Amino acid sequence: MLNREFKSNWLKIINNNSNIQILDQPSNIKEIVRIPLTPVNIDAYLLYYLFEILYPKFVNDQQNILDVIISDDNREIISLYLYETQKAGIHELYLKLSNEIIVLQEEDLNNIEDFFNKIQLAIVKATGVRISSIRVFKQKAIDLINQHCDSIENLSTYKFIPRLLRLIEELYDNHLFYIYPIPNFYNFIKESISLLNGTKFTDIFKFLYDILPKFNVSTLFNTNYQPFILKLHKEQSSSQNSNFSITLFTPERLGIEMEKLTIQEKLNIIKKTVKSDKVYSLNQNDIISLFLDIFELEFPIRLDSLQLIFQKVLYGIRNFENKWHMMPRPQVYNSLFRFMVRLFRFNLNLKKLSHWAIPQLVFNSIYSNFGLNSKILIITTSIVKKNFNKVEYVKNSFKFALLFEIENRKLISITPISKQDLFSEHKINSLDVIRSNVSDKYGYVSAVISLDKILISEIIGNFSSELAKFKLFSKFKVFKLFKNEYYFNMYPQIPQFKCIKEKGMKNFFKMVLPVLIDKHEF
Amino acid sequence: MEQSNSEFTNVAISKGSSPKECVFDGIEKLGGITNYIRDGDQVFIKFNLTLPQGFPANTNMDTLEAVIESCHKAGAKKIYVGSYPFKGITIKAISDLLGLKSYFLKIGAELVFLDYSNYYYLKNVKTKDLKIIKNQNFSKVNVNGKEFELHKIILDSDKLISVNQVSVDPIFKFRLSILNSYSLSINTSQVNIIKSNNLKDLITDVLDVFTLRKPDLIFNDLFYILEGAGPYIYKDSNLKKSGLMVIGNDAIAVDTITFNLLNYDLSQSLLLKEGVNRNLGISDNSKIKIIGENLNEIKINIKECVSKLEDIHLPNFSIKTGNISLGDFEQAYHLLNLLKTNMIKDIKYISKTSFLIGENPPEPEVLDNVLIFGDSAIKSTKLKKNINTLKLPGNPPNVFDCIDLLIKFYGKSNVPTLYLFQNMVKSFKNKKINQKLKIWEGL
Repeated sequence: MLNREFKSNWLKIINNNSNIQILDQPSNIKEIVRIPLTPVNIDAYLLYYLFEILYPKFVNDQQNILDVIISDDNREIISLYLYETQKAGIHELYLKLSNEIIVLQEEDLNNIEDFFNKIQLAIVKATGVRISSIRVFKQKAIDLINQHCDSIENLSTYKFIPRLLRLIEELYDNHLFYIYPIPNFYNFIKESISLLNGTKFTDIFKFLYDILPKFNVSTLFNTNYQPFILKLHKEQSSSQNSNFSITLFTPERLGIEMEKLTIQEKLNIIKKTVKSDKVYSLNQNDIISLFLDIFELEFPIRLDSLQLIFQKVLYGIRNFENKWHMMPRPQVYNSLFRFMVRLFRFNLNLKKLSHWAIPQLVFNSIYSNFGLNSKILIITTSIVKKNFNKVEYVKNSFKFALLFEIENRKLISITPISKQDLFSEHKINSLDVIRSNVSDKYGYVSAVISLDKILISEIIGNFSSELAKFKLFSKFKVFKLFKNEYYFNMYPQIPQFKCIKEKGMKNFFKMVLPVLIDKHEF
Repeated sequence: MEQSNSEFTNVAISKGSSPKECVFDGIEKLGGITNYIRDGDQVFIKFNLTLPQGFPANTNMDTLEAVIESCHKAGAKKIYVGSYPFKGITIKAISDLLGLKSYFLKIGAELVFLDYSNYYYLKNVKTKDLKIIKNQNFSKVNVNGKEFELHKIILDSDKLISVNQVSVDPIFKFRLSILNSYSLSINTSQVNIIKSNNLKDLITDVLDVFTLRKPDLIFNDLFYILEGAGPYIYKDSNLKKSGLMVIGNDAIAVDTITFNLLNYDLSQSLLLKEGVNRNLGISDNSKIKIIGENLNEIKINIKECVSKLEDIHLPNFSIKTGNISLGDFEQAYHLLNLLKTNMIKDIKYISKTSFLIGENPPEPEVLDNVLIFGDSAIKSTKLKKNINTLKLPGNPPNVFDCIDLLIKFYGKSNVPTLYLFQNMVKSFKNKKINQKLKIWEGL
């Protein structure tokens, strides 16, 4: 039995989808629904559109889907729902089939491909419909989804995201959900859970959320067919009493007629209408292509593949006003500003960002400093007045630690390291001692890096504000934090780190800048 | 315990899921560590310590830790570890950049600064102090009329263990344990050796160093093998995982079996053949008892280093070789690989470059920039005066000096990645330390 709220929302979506299919002007539908499994409200038509563009690319591009609900012991079919879809991924009409159509064997799920073929034959025989995909849920999965959806519409975004991430982890960890043909994203999530080796998605989310400064940004996902706007607003910079919201709009909903406007005008109107500090415009196809590349990553992840994705992102960044736009226009792209900065011997031209040399520099440094096989421990701290201790600053302000293991240029695991494994009771916990402690249990650790939350927040804050205003003093603050061992430290000290500590981040940055920025357009 | 000059010898080929497991399993197959290390022994472990890089430029620390642990189990009273690094690099620099000194202490061993580079940073140490240190701590050993200097700790240790990471090598195909022994002696000897133009002379010298103190237990670590470009980490380097380790007390036998595993036979290694001729160990398979994995069932195919410099394929570089000496070849091999690894962006900035090496190199096809590498190429090459030429002097030239000259030649704004690399190198290889090292080597 499905959660009542979930079910009614889902039926509303299906109903709208079938209406949209027959309308000449489907965008005129003003109905609001919730994105399934979330409290986020959305125009029914926009959700239809998102399914239309995303489902074929990320899940399956063929028609007709069968949902199979089975008992937890894999012995019994509980329900069968057939969605006959005219367009791949657009769920409209559904048919509840008799459970008797298929006899389930306990071992059927051991080979999902054979199971799919068996079901496909049975469905063709019973209904004449040829399905292209099955989604199998165990009863426990339905129970978990029901729990997740309980009062979900009243949940804040900050509370709902960890709940959704927990649901996903439980579905994968306990093998409660199967899909065939297996889409890349399914494997990506499955392999990510295994790569993370016990690190929870929720912990990563909470950490990232915690370090993000407050922001109020909107992004126009642009296309000629159906643009839409995503607004993200975080009011507080810490998780306590945090208010974080995700809102999706169609331009029609905001009363903006996109066709007649230039990109700058569009961003300007959006900025005023949705009351965001910054508005970005990105091309929908570029974003989809980036995610497709990410989901196609093979595990263990080859660092060469990450290098390519990194290149692609940097290539996007350098193509300002070609592949992306921003309002207000970033000062860093202003010629006069660039000239002024150049007087201080900083050649900061992001339009010539060396998208191909930067990843090579980063990954070469990893290989040559740490080796082709290495274990790198990253410890994050959160130093505040209360917990600060000059000697035991890592132990006293410890947040979490991850051990990254690389084997022959492949990232093979990211293991969370507990406080007990990190720290000694009777010794001063310098990074050297911490390395020895962790090496005892996990094998030789090449390097330990400690990073404080304040520094990470400052870097992120600086990067995002960089794109609007160039604040010289905030840069100096970051440079100063880099020099301070409490906020950024490393053992053993690799040449790059030594250089930052000895010459200062500003001078190191000057030295690296000619590598980061191209001389010519290649 | 069997001696390496006895008629038969045991060699274990162990396979495991980790290097540590391979070490313990291999020792067990050979009858246990007490067959080699006695209670109260002082042990010196010779490992690969080449550059401030990670594995596999240096020995796998997990393998080394397992060997140290085994020695402790056998009751070793003191365990030293050490080696001489790449020419021009101090042990202190590598130890600091990899955090080795404290790490070894933690696992129960002491890193020996064979070049006494830990003294170079002290203010009051003068040349005469270094001379006293050297006289007190080194012994001169004569082999075949040549004099080598060996640290007394090595000579005085009851047992010498060689822990060698198997990697491809531009001159000897592979870095096997005999080659690992080569960096036991002081660097000045090696400088002379590398100037030798003749492979036979070089082999003789390698074997002479090997006979200074033959190891009592040898580990050829093939758990991961560095292939493509080596023995340091370059762009074309790749690791191959075999999960194997070859262990024994006869270096020639252990290297022969390792060589066989890598799909080569003795006739393809002049070094091993000469070792056998000099009766330094057993290579006859009928006299080697293999314990563990079946040699005939395992063959590991490894991509060797390039044998011709032209095959390094450095974009925008046209490499022309004349009659090339071993020393020039080895240094140029490392320089070109280093540029290929670190100069990717710069190569797009600089115009086409001819790289001439060896005696009487062919006429360069590209005349935008001409680099002439080594004294013999400089002497025998005559180019028009208006050609933009850089001479890289030396017999053979030093890689790091070449980089400094290249940056001056192209201009730092044209080679930003190389300039960055140079600055990183300066953090562990500065003028003051270089001077001290030179003084030490010249004493």
